[in-house]
Amino acid sequence: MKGVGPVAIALVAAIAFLVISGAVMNTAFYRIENMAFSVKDIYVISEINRFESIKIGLPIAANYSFCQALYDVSKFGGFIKPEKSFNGIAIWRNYSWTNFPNYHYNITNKTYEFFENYLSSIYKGQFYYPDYSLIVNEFDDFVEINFSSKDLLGYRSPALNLILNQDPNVSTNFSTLMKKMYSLGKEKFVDKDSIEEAREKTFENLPEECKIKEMGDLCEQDINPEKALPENCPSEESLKNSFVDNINSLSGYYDGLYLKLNVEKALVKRTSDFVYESKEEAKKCGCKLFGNFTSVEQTSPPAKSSVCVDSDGGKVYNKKGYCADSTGVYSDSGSEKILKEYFCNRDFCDYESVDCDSWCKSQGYDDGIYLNGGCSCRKCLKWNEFFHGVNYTYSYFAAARVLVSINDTKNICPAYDGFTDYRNAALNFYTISGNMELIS
Amino acid sequence: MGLKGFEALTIAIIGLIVVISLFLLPFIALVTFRYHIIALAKLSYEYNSADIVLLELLEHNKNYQYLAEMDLPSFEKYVMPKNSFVENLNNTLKLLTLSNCSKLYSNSNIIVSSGNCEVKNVTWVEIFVPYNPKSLVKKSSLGVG
Repeated sequence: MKGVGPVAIALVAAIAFLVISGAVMNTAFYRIENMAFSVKDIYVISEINRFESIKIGLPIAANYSFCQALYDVSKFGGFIKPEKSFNGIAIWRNYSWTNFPNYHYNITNKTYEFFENYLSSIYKGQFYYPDYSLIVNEFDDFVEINFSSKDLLGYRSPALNLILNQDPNVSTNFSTLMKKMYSLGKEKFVDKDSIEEAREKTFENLPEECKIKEMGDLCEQDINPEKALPENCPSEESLKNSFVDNINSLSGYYDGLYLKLNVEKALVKRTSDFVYESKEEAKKCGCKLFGNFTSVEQTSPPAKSSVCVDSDGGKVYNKKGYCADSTGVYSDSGSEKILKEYFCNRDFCDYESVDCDSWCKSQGYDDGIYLNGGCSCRKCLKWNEFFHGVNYTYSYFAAARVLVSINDTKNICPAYDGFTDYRNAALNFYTISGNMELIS
Repeated sequence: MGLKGFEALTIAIIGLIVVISLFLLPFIALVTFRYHIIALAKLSYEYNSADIVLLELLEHNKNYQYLAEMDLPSFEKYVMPKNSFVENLNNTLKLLTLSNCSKLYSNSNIIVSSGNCEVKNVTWVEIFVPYNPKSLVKKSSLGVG
């Protein structure tokens, strides 16, 4: 019985130790287990947060995509591939031909394209997205961008074998005057032609005599409208300057937009013409069409003689003659209209100067010249016309190629153009206008 | 001491061991459990705070946007001086982390560094940046001390 007490105490103490150490060990193991769980928990939270950060960023990515799309599409006139362009920028008007872009469709498509790039760039291999629709709704001062899909956005964390899904519907507003910008361009350069109005304004104050001038009766050859243009009429160059000034005066602010017109080429042309009440052929207006000249008959020169001999028989002006006397032999000669006609005056040769024109007219012809030693004559077949009640008319034509820029001065957003920086959206397009196709 | 006295002592010692075991065991268990809970909570808080703070920081749209755009050449002209933005971020981080020790990185560049301290945990997310054909995202990291 004596040994039972210490044994019992030792047994109870050992059991107590085992129980206490078991409890401590259990807690320690539990803690290690929980630490492992906690570390896993940390990773799970990190991954959830990364996925959450995508959701936070989606409206911002949509805005960046829209900003870039608006900038890129508008910079070249609102078209992706314009039918007509100059230096890559769309032509909205080419005289009477007009072409307004389906800008909303083009910008939405571009936004989709850029947004797609954003989605495929973030967390490559981990983030995946379903087929989605991107809708842009236009308002006066902003657009609403809606990104939606029937399926869920997904995020996979391979290390943890974790798959996360989220509702993909995102909506964001983007401040822009896009709608007003395109409406202003359409109103001023498609629905109406502001450049044509500037042309009309240029010529409306011209003095009346610069447009029509009464000249009375005139011979055909005296009609010269350009020469008769009054000195106070402006030159083509000054009209061109005025035309350009009138176009430039359209530049200015329009409800948050700045419209700027840059005249790259302008041409002004004045043409003149005349109108008349009646006309008739008139001799006093001169001959318009002559017949052939008559031929000058040639004679043989006589030998030197002690008595005077004239081969054409005296003062015969339409024959070339030779006059011979004791001093020598002389032939009929002349120049232009004057004939030097030799003839015998008693025993010696003498000469006279004859105006062929006068002589021919006295012979019933209408014109005469000296030719081959005699006078050669011709008849007029058709006389110049004589116009009654002549009015000179002056017409003015102008055309210009203008680069139109409409800037959204209220809003800026970051866009890439060689480098990324804050930029105003600007709509650029060409308009070629005028009342005559002077510029191709 | 007789047998009766010895038995009584044995019974007293055994009783004492049993009582100590019965009362100490829950006490030890409770103390270690409490330690465990505090340690776990501290661990979770320290390691998750950076994640939560970074997300909270980005949830404010302007912070996200400005972090994304702060490298643009005209950021100071159109948005705000970079010093003011960094100061704002620093104040926000102090409020969110309840600590004077935090570091915010954009890619590998330090944007905000409060205090000369060692950060215990660094977390990161990718954020969208303004359109640029070279890169559309950048890494934004936060370390909290």
